[in-house]
Amino acid sequence: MKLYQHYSLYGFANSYLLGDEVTRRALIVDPGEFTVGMLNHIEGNGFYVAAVLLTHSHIHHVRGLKTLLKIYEAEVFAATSKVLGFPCRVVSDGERLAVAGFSVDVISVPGHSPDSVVYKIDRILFTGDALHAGVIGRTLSPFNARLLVDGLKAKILSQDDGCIVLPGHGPPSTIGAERRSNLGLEEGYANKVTATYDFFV
Amino acid sequence: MQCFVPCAVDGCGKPAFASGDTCLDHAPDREAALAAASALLESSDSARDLSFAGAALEGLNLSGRRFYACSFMGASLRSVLFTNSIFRLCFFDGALIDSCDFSRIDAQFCSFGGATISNVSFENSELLHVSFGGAAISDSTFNKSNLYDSRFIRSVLKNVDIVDCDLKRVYMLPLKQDNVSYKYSNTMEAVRDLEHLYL
Repeated sequence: MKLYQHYSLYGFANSYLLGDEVTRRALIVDPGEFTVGMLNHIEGNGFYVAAVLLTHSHIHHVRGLKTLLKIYEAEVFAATSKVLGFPCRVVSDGERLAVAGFSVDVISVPGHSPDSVVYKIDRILFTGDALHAGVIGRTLSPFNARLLVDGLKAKILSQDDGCIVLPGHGPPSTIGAERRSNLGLEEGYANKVTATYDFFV
Repeated sequence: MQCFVPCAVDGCGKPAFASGDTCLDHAPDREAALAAASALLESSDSARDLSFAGAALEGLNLSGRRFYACSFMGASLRSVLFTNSIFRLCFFDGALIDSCDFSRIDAQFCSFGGATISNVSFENSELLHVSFGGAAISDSTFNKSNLYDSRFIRSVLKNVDIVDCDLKRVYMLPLKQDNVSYKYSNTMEAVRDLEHLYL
């Protein structure tokens, strides 16, 4: 298994490429953009992108689909049936997928968006915007904040301390570190959230 | 990257330690495993997908090495020189890092979450997308470093110099800070309150 991180200047978001060194099949998590550099990297390593996993459908995490799907016949997995007009294989909470040779567990954690999911592969959690290093994803209301915090506590922070968190923005982390020092998981955090409708990613 | 071999003991689930078959807890001879890990680190120019979780390393010179997807989680690092080294997707979460030199390193996408860092120099370094969340950092310096998109959330900083650093997109939300100097650093470009998170 090979894992590469790509920092997209469009929305300052992270994309991840996960490749199987035997079958040379790969999957991409959240292609916020799909650049020539990424293409060269994929081709240079002899990978074929067979699948795309979307943690949620905000534009900064999906815009690269338009280019990517012109090059690769990749199946798109998301918690919604269409993203940017592309049909998706709809995933649901608790499902275990076999994607590009990887076993992927789907964990639904709505709150940042209704379709937010976390993908777990081995000991790695692709958390999208649900959980970042030190903070949780922005929400539009205290209800959504509570929904997100409850989901994270029940399903994500119950994972092993050493599980790696690869978020949609910012640096990586571990479950142990987030359990101890994430601001969004402080008691009463959800009640501090005020309803905002400004642009967010 | 991050393709650790699991511990050979059924039901353990932790990554195997260094080049061994088991994690450090299940190593038949802990001291021998630690000595082998030190020897492996000192003899190689680069380390990839290796776990040194829980290791106790002291007095090593690992300058100019390349570390890809290595884990030092919960390790104890004392008087270890990492000068001029390269780190990608490396984890030091919960580690005890004392009197070490990380100056002139190039670290990207790494985590020091919850680490205890004292008497450590990160001077003249590239520290991009690095998390220091919940870390207790004391008597240490980051002077003249690029900290772009790094995070100091709920960190405890005491006697720390962050002088002449690039703090663009840095989340500077420490739990407590005492005698921290940001002189000549672009603090206005850092995120210093929850209202301005870029999420």
